Parts: sequence; structure tokens; C-alpha cells
Amino acid sequence: MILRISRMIFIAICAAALLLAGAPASLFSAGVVNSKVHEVSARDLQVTCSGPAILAGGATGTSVTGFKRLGSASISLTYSAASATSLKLFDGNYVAGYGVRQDLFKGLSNTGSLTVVDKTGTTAQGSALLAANQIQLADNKNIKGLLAAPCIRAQSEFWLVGGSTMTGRESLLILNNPTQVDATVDLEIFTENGSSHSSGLSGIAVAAKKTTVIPLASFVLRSQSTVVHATSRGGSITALIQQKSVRGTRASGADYVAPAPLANTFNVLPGILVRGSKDAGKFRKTSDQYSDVQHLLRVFVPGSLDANLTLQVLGSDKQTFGTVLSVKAAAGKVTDFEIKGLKDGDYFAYLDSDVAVQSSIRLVRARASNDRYVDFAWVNSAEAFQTPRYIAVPKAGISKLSIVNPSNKATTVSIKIGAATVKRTIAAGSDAVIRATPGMSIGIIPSDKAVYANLVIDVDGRVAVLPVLDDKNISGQVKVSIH
Amino acid sequence: MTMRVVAVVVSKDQPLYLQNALDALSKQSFRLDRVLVVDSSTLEEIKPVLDNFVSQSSKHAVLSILDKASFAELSALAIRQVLEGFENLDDVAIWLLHDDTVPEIHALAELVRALEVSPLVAIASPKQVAIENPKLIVQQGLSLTKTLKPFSLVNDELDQKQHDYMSDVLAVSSNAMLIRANSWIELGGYSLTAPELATDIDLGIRTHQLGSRVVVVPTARVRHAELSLQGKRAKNWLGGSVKFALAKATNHLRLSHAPIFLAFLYWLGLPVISIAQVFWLLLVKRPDRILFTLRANLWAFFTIRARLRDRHSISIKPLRVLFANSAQVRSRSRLALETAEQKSNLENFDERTPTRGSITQVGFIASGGLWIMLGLAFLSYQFFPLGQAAIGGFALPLSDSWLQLFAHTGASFQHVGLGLAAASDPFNWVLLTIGSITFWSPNLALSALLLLAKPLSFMGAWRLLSTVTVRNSIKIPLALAYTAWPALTISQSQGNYPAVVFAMTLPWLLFSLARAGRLGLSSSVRSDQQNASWMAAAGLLVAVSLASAPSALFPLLVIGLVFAYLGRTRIKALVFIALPAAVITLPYYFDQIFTNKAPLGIFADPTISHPTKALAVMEAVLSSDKFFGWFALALVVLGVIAVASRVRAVFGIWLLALLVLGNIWFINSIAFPAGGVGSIFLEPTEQVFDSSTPSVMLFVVLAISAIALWLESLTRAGVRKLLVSAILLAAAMPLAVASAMTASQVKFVDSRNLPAIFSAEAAAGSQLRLLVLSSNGDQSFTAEEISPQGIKLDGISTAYRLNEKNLEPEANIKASITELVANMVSANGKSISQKLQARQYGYVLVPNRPGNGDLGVALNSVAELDQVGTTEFGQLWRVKKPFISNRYVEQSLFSITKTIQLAVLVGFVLLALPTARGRKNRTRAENSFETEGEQES
Repeated sequence: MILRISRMIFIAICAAALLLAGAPASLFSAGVVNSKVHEVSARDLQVTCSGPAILAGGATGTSVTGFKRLGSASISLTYSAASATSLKLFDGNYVAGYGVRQDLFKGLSNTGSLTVVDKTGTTAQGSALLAANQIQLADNKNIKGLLAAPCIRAQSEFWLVGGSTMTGRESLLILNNPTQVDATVDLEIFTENGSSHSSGLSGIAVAAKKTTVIPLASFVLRSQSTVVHATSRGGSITALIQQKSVRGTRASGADYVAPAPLANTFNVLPGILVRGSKDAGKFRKTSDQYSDVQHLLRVFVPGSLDANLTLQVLGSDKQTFGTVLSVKAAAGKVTDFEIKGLKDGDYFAYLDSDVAVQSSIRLVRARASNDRYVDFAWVNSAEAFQTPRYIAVPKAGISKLSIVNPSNKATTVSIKIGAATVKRTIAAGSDAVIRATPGMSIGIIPSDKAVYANLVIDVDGRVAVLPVLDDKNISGQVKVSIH
Repeated sequence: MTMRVVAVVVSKDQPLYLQNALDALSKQSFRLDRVLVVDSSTLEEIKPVLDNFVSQSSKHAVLSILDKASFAELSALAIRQVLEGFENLDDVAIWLLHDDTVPEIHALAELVRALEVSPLVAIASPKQVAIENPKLIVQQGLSLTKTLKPFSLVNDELDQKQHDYMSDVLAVSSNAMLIRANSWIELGGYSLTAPELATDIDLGIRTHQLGSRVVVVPTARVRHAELSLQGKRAKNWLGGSVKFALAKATNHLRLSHAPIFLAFLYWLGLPVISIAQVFWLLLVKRPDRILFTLRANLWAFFTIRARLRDRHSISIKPLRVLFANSAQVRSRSRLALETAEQKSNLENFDERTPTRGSITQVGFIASGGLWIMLGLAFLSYQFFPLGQAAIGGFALPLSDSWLQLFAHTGASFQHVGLGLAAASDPFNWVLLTIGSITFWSPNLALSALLLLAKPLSFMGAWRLLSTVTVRNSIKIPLALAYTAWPALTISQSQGNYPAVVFAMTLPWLLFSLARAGRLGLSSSVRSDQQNASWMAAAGLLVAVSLASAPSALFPLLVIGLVFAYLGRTRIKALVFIALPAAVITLPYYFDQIFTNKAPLGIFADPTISHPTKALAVMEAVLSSDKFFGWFALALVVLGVIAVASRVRAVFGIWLLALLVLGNIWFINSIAFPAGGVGSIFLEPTEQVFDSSTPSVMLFVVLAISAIALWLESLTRAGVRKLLVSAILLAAAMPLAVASAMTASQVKFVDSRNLPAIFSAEAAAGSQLRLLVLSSNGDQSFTAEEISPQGIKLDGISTAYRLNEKNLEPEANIKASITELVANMVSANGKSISQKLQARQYGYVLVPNRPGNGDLGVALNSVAELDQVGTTEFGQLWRVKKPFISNRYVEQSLFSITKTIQLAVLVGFVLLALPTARGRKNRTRAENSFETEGEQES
């Protein structure tokens, strides 16, 4: 009997040990599939600027037939002018590259593209070669506010996290097709109620070299929170949402919603520069029309799992105290969370989530005294980068660059403005806010840590935020794994 | 006229027998005129016997032949010698004797009387009885069957004078034959070209053709040891083994005595006949006869001139009345079978485990097994094959044509991807077997497999448990638990055919091993033929198991060794059982180890490299369904408790189970490269891991066997009932519910898994290939070249997947494709038409997947491509100017390796097939010239 029980105990111990401690050890590998590498020359880098603001309803605002461009947008661009390249401008003229960076400013009355012609196809592409953006301070009875957007490379897929189709809010989806091939665009529109199943979301034709403007209200009426996912087949496109607010009969704020990066579990949102917080509070108290003059976090949770979110809004210096939100966002829906209690100051935000999410922050600006206005800007979560990136700085207004170092160690970033290079050390988990020289592009050269950055533009108190992008076509080493 | 008789004794190395024979001769009541011993012995001990013999009488003489000589030559020489001096041979007869013969005292007198009574009788032969048991007739006249096989008219029958009526026969044995000297001279003696065992019959036939009679004289009796037929003489005496000598004799008689046209046809057809004979012998479970049958056929084929020398102009047709009739053959069959069964029963008398005779088992159907199978089929309702093929998860369709499926199986060169000279996956043999069930549409059977997986697993588990328990109340819940185990359920839902096939096969494999090893309860094995069937079945099932689950190699090896140990003397059987698995896996192992230099590749799961992650042992046992997994674990705990039972075997079973748990850890620690054919349509991953299901199911089968042994040993019926109820309610039923609730990843559609336009063109004979591209991000892409045959389950090659390290011959092709793809995806305007044409690309496909959008856009700007549109498989482009070639490189149907593999597998299948009693009997009867002992060896 004792022997039998001993045997049972022996087996039980061995089985339990194997069951409980038998984690896979990754001890062996039966070979590795190596990709083949080929060096390719890239096609010419082209970025497309959406052009001036669009007025739905024509000049009077009452027409039901079309859209009208409002004035012209100011284009700021920085071109490295690398040797053996030339920059083709909107008007078809060329700027020859002779090795000295050039910051150029152009007016644009319609959609236009900038192309770096590289006959060798070997020049490294990216924002260091060409970066451009557009701003427009709209002061029309139908639209007021600062609209800013990056000029972007045509692609096949965009996520636009922003917009609203509530009463008094207008969101126009602007689809440009700068390519030679007609594009067919499919849309997915998500709102606070989930995905829209309206007809007409698929197969939207965007002819080659043409722009198609679609009011989101035609698909999702009276939706507080929208997120648009656009995919194209055929030609590639650029996509923006132009959002404006009208309170009563007065236009009151406008901005572009620029494409956001892919969903992530950790989002960094630099450039939350809060000004006029007291005035915003006053507006909110005056009327319900101004109830949304409030900073808010917009989150879209793709997939089927709800997201548990923690938003930390952190101040850039000792005088600013941020706030923390711990909330839950429903899967497949767009959810807005108001960010209250932020006083004037410079902030940045981290958004942690247990599932990958799309996020952006709506930053508001208001002045309640003379020259009353309310404006807003969509601050996208930024892209991490560790290689140099450039951004053109508009001549108008005040521009500030917010750079965030989310790592747990301090890092040094070289800032290149014109011929000068300044080194800034950014503490661990902190940011640096650098005032840009109007009209002079900024080069951001990280050292050992990946950083995140946005450019905040303030023109007469109106605000807009531009992402720091790095557009490039496939070039250099392409890996191909052949099965 | 009084007959004078001379005796000739042919001696070969049997001094004792010879002494007895000579003594008996000296005591004959009929006086012999001369006695000549012709001796070709090599033993020294024979000399005193011969010296003594010669010294006894002046009529005695010895003729020593030192050269190797056949019986016919020796007898011819001796008879010529002994007849010298006789002027008139009319009254002389020759008595030819073997040295292992002891004639009874009046034997010669009776024979002489027969010759004296009838002048037409040329040859008279006595009744030959066993030397040890004179009541047993060992031979009394020879004949032929209708197919001209030698047939002994009486063989090992108790002498009750039932054959004493016999007189005229076709031929008689050379032993103790009395032949008139004149007839001998006229006949020319025995044929020197005929094989030993054909000489008697040949002589008999020729005697009849001279118009003389050949008779047996039942009153004359000689005792005969039949050393030659018993295989107790040196093999060169008969020119080989008895079986070989018999086969040669048969061939000789057919070629020399059949009508010339039939003989010619027979000779011409010998190669085909040989194959047919091999099939037949396998079917009747006589593989031991194959080798000598083939040798005899080869001998006959290449010595045809010698056979023809024995042909005579006179027809054999009139002699057919003397041939063995059907009744005689049937009677002999019955007798042979009874003897074999008696022998087997005597052998089984000492078996340690009870046989069927002592165990009362309720049959599977009687125990309601069919109803449970039906219920399990209902639980698998999601897998009802509503379409032609199952697609999704691991599942891919098979080739639409059986010939294509056959071509992919056992191939040495595969037209997959860029092509590969390596052995195809052994699992293809399993797919071929399944596809052959519905050969007109191979996918149909494969689709039905998922539906039938659980019912057949249940049946197998029930059968296996019947070797350890007779109680249905134990067998059914435990078999249900096995069937509903989460690992099997998940593999079924993923369409993981190899894992499902292994889980289905495993209980049957262990069951057949138990049968082959005569282990466990209720062994139904009653004869060597049945044993051969079970061993062949076990061999095939081992091959199926190993081909389906290479990861189970180590546990299967250990189980094999345990089987050999339990059988103690069954190492040969183990080698035999391992043969099919060896022939289908060794070429593949060779390629993985030596060509791919990836020894661990032999453990890689076959079929598509579906993304999988490594599992901890606990995760593997519980599977992804944690909730129901705990019910499964409860059963494992019960299995551990069983170790405390009185049944010692449980401890051994658990040691095996621990080894299997270790194997789960081992296989989850091997990362295999992803990729290979068809993987581009799957979620991108760099590494994949083997499925744990085979090892888990092996663990489960051991656990339930341990529990069954324990429950069977319980003396308190109440406790047993309680435990059985607990197993049923707390494990089997919840797991069955879980299996029904597990969503299937497989859908049943038509067998197309590529864009319709490409498939249609390929079906119309186009040889254009499809290039599939996908982006992995960060300027990394995957490209896959798909042949017109498309992506088929049988076209997947694990050797190809692991061949990345050794692709020097294809390096240029890969570099060329890489350049082509790089230029396409970068859309830099470089001309790619030459490279598109070089690889015969007709279409380019970009699967619908996040991240591939830009790729599609890039291809739109490639001048050499025209966008076709969006298909269910992705965006499709047509190459504007493809290179159209009509040259079709067809996959060859056969190779040397494949032929060997096929021959072994077919042989095992024939051996494994249950054989009708009648066929077995007929085979025995047709070879009834042999002794029963020889037949059964």
C-alpha cells in the first residue's frame, strides 16, 4: 500500500511539475527564413496641399449645388534643395536644388502638389527633403478660425480622428486624388453610436487630379463624435476633414482634421498649449451654444474589446499642473471625454490603453473681451521618430514646437533653425516647448531616444496644430521574402 | 515368369536412417537380386554403415559419387550400374528407395504382385506412412490440380483404410517406387532438367503417355521420414527450400506439360503473373511465400529452353481424369485449416491474458455505440460538408483530380513555389488515402473527415478500452471524454487535418498493437494470418500517425519499444510494423537533415504554416477553452489517483504519460520558420510552432487507459458506479457540450481559393503563374509565386518551407524576383516586363489586408500591369504582355522511391485486409504438397 501511494505521489509531483512549470523555452529553431534585399530607386516625392477652405453652399451659403473655395491658403515649405534634384511648384515652375535648404512661401487658391524631381532616384526622401503645410485664417461670415493642415503624400488609407455633424457643426471630408489614376474610395464612419451603415459609403469616385468634397452629415447626421477611415483603390488620395462651428448665426471656429497614425496602446499628444481658459469658462456659462468650448479627448476603439484608458495631461513646467482621466471606452465606438481644470499653460498628454486606440485632443481657444472669438484645433497623437525630421514654419503668427520625450531617461535633441543648431535636453517623461522663428523651418534631430512632436500655431489668438510628419516613398533597401 | 527385383538406395548424409533402411531391405519377404547404394554423402559416419552393408553379401554394392549430383542423376547412374549384366530386362524391376525409408516386411512382395498381376502396370508405389507414427499416411500417390500444381492425394491422414480402394494415380513418389526396368529404359529415367519435386510427376505423366499404368498398392507400406519435404536435408538437395522447390516444380510442369499455346502465354505473362501472385499472397496473408514465388518465376522465365526440352508431343488432356478434383481440394482445405487452428490454440494455451473464449464482451453495436457515434456526428453539425471543400484555418482544398493528388504524393520533385527536388510530405500519403475514397472528387472525403472525426475517435477509443475492461459503463464515458477533449475539438474547428487524423488514428493504432502483440483482454487473434493482419494494420496506422504528427515521433518510438518488450520476442514484429512508416518518412527525413540541414525539421507539422504560438504544457492540456479545460484536468487528476490502485500497469502507463508531457514541452520549444506555399494569405508571422494536439491526445489516451484499469480493478461496485457517474457528468458531458459550442473556423465552399479568372484560365490550360504580394511594413514585403495548379493541401511542402538556407540553385531566381518585386512596390517606373515574362507571370494579386493599401496604389502606377479589379482574395492585376508558353511540365506520376513506397504500402494494405476463410483455405489446399508445418512457418 505504501509503495502504491509513494508511486502515486511521485507521479503527481512529476505531472504537476510538468504541467505548472512547462513553459515553452524557445530552445530550438529549425531554421530562419531570410528575406532577400534589393536596392531600389524611389519614385519622386510628392506632397499635396488641400488648398483654401471650402464653403459649402457656395458664396452665399444657400446654394445646393456646389462648394466654393474661400480665398487662398498660405503654403509654407522647406526644401533641402539636394543636388541633382529640383522642386516642381504648384504653378509648374521649378526650383533647382543647389545644396542649400530653402524655405518658401506660396499662396494656393486650389488643391496643389509639390514634387521633388529626382532623376537619379537615389536621394533620401522624407521631411528633410521636402515638408510643407498650409494655414489659412478664415474670417468669413460662414467660417471663422485658423485652419492648418500638413501637405501630405497621397496614400491609400487614412484615419481622421475628429469632426462632428451636430447642429451648427459642419464636417467636410476633402478627398484629393493627385495621381494619374482614378481612385475609388471606401469610407468607414464611426460615431458615438458605432459604425455607420449608411448607403454610399463605398465606391466613392475621386477622379484623377480632382477633389471630391463630401459632407459627413450626408452619412451621419447629428453625430457628436466622428472618426473616418478612408481607403482607396486605384489611385492614391489625400484626405482631410474641414470642420467648422457655427453658434447661432455666427461662425465660431474652424480647423482641419489631419490624418492620424495607426491605433496604438500608447499615444503621445504634444502641443496642448492652453490659453484663454478663463474666457472659455465664461463662454460656457453664457449659453448652451458654447457648452462645447471645452478641451476634450476623442477616442475610437477598433475591434471588439472595450478599452480601459488613462489620460495623463502633464504640464511643461513647475507652474502648470495637469490632470488625469481614468475612463473606459466602448469598443467599436467613438467616445469623447472632457478634459476639465486645465489652466493656461503648456501641456502634453500620454494616453495609455489596454487595447490599441485612435485618439486626438480638441484644443479650444477663446477670448471673451473685445474681438470675441472661439476657435479650436485638433491635436493628433504624434508619431514617434528617432531620425531627423523637418517642419516648415509659417510666417504668420506665433509658432511653438512641442517635443515630448516619453522615455524614462533624459535625451538631447538638436534643433536646427536656419544655419544655427541648438541642443536641448529633454528630461525623462517631459517635453520641451520651443518658440519657432516665423518663416524659418525647424529641423528636429533626436539622439538616442524616440521623441514625439507637434507644431502649435497661434495667429491672432486663433490656434491650429500641425503634426511633424516624414513623408517618403519606398526607396533604398527593400526586403522581399519569397515563398 | 518370376519377377527379379534390384534395389537402388539413394543415400545422402543420413547414416542412421540408411542403416534402418538397409536392415529393412534385408528383411524383405521378397528376395532382392541386387542392392546398390548410391551415395553422395560428405559425412564420414556413413562409411561404416556402407562397409558393413557391402560385407554382408556379394549382391550388395555401393556406388560413391563425390560430385554434387541431383536425385535424378544419382538414380540414373545407379540404375544403369545395377542393371549391368542383365541380358533380358523383361522380368526385371527396379525398386528405388530413399535412405530415410523403412519398408515393412511384405512391402516389396505386394508391389511385385501388382506388377505381375497386370503387365500394363509399369510403376507401383506403396502407401507411405510416417516413420514415427505408422498410423499416419504421409503420402499415397501424386497428382496435379487443374492448374497443374503438384498435389499429394493423401497427406497426413490417419490410416483407417479409407484410401485402400486407390489404384491408378497420375504419379507416385520416387521413394519405394517399383518400376519395370524396360519401362525405365524406355522412359529414359527421370528428367534431368526438371526440378526435384517435378521429376516424380513428370515420370508418371510420361509413363501414362506410353500407355502404361501407374498404381499405388495400399497393402504395401513403407515408413518414410520425408526429410526433404520436412526441410531436414541440406537445401542444395532440393535446389533450395521446399517452398522454392515446389514453386519451381509447378512452373516446370506448367511450361512442359500444358498445351503449347497456354504454356507460351504463361511464360510470356510470368512478370504480370508474378505481380498478381504477390498481391494474392498478401491478401491471403502469406507474405512468407512471396520471395520464393518470385524467384521461382524468374527461374522459369530465364530457363525456358530447359523447360521446353521436357515437352512431349502427346497431349496431357486424356490424363485429366487422374487430376485432383474439386472435392479433394476442398477436403484438403478443411483439413489444413483445422490443423492450423489446433496448432494456434495449443500455442495460445500458455498466453498470460485471457482470450476471447474466456471473456464475454458486449459488442460495439450492442452497447449502443452506433447511437453515440450518431450523437457525436450531430454535435459536429458545424462540419457537415455542405460544400465541396473545407477552407479556413488550416484547411485547404485538395487537388481536384485524383491523378494530381497521386502525382503530389511521394514525389521527389515538387512543382511548388519555385520548385524543389526533395521528398514531398509523408502526410500526402494520408491525403491520398482519404482522397481515394471519393476518387472522383477527392475533396469530398476530406470534407467529411471533420464531421466523422469525433464518431470515429469514439469508436477507436471504445475499442482500445475494450482491451482493458469489459464494462461498457467504463468504456463509454472514458471514450466520450477522449472524443470531446478540448485539444481535438479545437483542432477540428481549425480544420487542422493532421492533428485530427492523428487523434482519430491513435486509439486504433494502440488497439491494433495490442491485438498484434496479443496483449490485453479479448484478443481475437486465432491464427498467424490474423496476427499478420493486425501487424500490418498496426504498421499502416503507425505510418499514418507519424505522417500526421511528426512531433509525436519520440513517444511513438517509446511505445514501439514497450510493445517489443512486452512481447519479449517481437523485435522482428516491431521492425515489420515500422516498415511502412520508415519507407514514407525516411526520404523526407533525409532531405530535412542532409539537404536542408535542418534536423529539427523532421518534427515540423505538415500542411500550411498557419500562425500558432508556443504553449505551456498546462495551456496545451487545457487548450484555449479554459473553462471547460478545467473539467478535462479533473479527469487527469483522477488518472493520477489511479496510480494508487492495485494494477501495476497503471504506473507504467503513467511513466509513458509523463514522457508525453515532456514531449509537449519539447515540441513547443522548437520554433519553425513560417512561410511556404499558401502562407501569404495568412496572418504574417516569422515563426510557427507544432500543434500540441497529437501529444495531448496521446497523453489523454494513456490517462483514460489508466483510469479504466483502475475502475475495472475496483471490487466495490458502488464506488465504481459513483466514479463512472462523476466522469460522465463532470467531464465527458461538459466537454461534449463545449465541443458543440466551439465555433468553427472552417467553411465549406467550392475548392477554389484563388481568383476565378486565374483559376479559369489555368483550367483552360494556361501556364501563366500568379504573383502574390503583401506588405509587412517597414519596406518589407512577402512574395509568393503560385503555379496554375493553385494552392492545394497536397501541394504544400514542409521541405520547401525549410529550404531557405539551401537555395543556391534558385538564388538567381530569388534575386530576380526580389528585384522585380522591389521595383513594382516602389513604382519607380523601371521596366519590369522582362522579369515578368521570365517567370511567366500572368497576374499579380495583393490580398485584402491592412497595410496592403499602398501596395495596391503602387501597382496601379506600374505601366506593365492592368488593374482587373477586386476579388474576394484581394486586388488583382493582369500582366499586359505575359509570356505565353504552351510547355507544360507535368508532375511525374512515379519515381523509384515512390514505387517502393507504394509497393510496401499496398502490400501492407493487402495484408491488413481481413481475408475470407475460403480464400485462405484455397491457398492452403493449392499448396498441399507441403506438410502443414511448412505451411504455417
